[in-house]
Amino acid sequence: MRTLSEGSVLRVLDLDRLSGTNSTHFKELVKAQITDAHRVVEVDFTAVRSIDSEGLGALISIYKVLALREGRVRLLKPQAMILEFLKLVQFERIVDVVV
Amino acid sequence: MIIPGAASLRSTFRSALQIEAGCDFVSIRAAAETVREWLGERGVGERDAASWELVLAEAGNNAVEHTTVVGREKPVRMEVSCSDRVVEARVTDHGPGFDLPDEVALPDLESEGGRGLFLIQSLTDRCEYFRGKTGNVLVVSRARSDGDMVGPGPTEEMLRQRLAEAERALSDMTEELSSNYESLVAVFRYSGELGMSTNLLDFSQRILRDLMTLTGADGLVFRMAGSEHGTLETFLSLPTGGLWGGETVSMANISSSIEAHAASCCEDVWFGVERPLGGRDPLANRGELMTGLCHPFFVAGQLIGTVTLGYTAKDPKLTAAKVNLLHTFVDFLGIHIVNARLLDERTRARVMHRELEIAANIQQSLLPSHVSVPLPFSVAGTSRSARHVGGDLYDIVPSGSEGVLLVVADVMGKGVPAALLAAVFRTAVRSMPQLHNTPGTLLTRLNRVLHEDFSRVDMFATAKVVYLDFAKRSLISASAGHCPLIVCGAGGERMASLDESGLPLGIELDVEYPETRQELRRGGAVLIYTDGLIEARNPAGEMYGEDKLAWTFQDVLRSTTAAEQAGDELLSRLEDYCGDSAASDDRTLIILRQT
Repeated sequence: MRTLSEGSVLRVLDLDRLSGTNSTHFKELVKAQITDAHRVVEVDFTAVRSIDSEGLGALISIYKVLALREGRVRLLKPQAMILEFLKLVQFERIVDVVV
Repeated sequence: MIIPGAASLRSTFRSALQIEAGCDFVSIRAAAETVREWLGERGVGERDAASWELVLAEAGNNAVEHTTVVGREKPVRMEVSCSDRVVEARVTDHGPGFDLPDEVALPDLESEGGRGLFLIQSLTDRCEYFRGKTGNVLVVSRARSDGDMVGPGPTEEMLRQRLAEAERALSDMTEELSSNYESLVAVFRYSGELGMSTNLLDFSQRILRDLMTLTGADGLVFRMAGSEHGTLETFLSLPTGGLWGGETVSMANISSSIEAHAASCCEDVWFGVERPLGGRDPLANRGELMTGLCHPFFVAGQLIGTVTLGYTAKDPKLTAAKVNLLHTFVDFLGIHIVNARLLDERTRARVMHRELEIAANIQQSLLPSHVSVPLPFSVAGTSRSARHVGGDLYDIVPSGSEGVLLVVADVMGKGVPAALLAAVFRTAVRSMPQLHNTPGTLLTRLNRVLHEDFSRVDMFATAKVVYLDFAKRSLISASAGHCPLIVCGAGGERMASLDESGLPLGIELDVEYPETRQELRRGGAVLIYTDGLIEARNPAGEMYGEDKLAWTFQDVLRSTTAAEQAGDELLSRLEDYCGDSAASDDRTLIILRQT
């Protein structure tokens, strides 16, 4: 997992899962990289094969940080099963999901 | 065996997967991924398999988050079965458990937690949670939705594989049923003997021979925990004179002995091709037994020993059913051993009790029962031991018509050692009649004679020796570190408390004991006693003390006439004072009266 800052967007790349095993690391890493300039955190979900409630909790934690500065969390191209899970917990209501 | 950080696959029989994962997030995730792969291999569609990974990860994470310190040491078990139509999973945890609502609501959108149960319930058709004493079980199932999505049905090879698995499952079930029957038969056969037979070797041979036969083992060794629990001593090795010998295993050698390792870790330890016996392992001494299992067994948390089954074959098929047999038989053996030990201890205690009763009778018989002295004198003594036998002693030895010697002694300590030395002391006193009218000299001589005996066992004795000259009505007394003498006048008033100084007997070899002379007036009385009287305590813990004893003695003298009657009354009042408090020391006294 790595981050890339491009203007107002902080990208999170090379993520293969977002679960109890790495959610804390994910959350702390992204929060540490967010600056005043960032308005969007864009997480590349292309390779994410599994997610769980711990991972969802980490995304919400980041969403809260951005919400304070009227920013957004964007999930890019989640796989079909992951998209189903996100819809199940109505995640598209608080984050942008780009299919 | 549970490998922290990784899931361990135990068996795949009955077309099912069973995984024991360590109680941590990494192990749970690894186990959930294993399930996903396993379902994929059985034709379950990717979407369903991913859902099951999520469901089991959520269930496992819940178990990790809400477990206890004890539960954290135990595995989270995942059992998954898969048929053409349905997938069912059971997740066993060892936490305190929780109440599963009929319908779990989705938490507030901005809440960072609380979605686990919602996901589990949403992704399954059936979701139930059972709380139990040995663990809680979450049971979830869901109809497979992948049938139409994965295209053609199972291939011929898959069907062949499933058939083979079903046959294997049937065979395992048959064997398990058979072993359960054998276990049940053994339970009935051996339970009749529990608590009856004390011949451990005979019982062990029979039960362990049966175990060897039923498990098809080539060798068996039963080592019993040593009394200090530092060793495992060979109790039985089968076949007799066979492959495994009679070495004693030190519990300190965990690294070199499978048996010491199993006993220390409190769990079964397997050995074989994957984990060969070490060169220094006592089991490897003969080398022929390649494979096996060591089972440590405990009763009430106490290690009883280990039983190890060995096989010469590299793959002896030591199935779960055979392991169950091993556990059942050895549990019985453990209970039998503990029963036999209790029976043995009870017998020993009974013998010891009887011997102490005899010793107490002998000690009582050494005390003078009734001694006649010429009027107007009367004398009586009594002794009550805190235990069966004690170190207190009194003796009343008339010296013809001239006088009488009164002796009260207290050998340090209680019980049999003190009683034996008290008997020796009495014999020594009676062997020196020529010194009875000179108590100081008598004590000096007694100390010299007994010094070696006392020194050898690091003991000593205090003694008060009083000689009454009938004609002169005078008392000559000497003391070897003993309680003061209490002398009262005709009206019961306290006349003196004679406390001659002098070392206890057995401390130094040459000791002079000064004598004190005191006239015994008409109507007067003397009390000689041991410290058990003044150190007696009431339930509040208050000591009786010398002043209270002297006061009680005076009072008793006013209400009685004979010495014997006064002695009984004095002890009776003392016992009233103590109430229910148990006597901590022997109580002995002599009362001499002149009417």
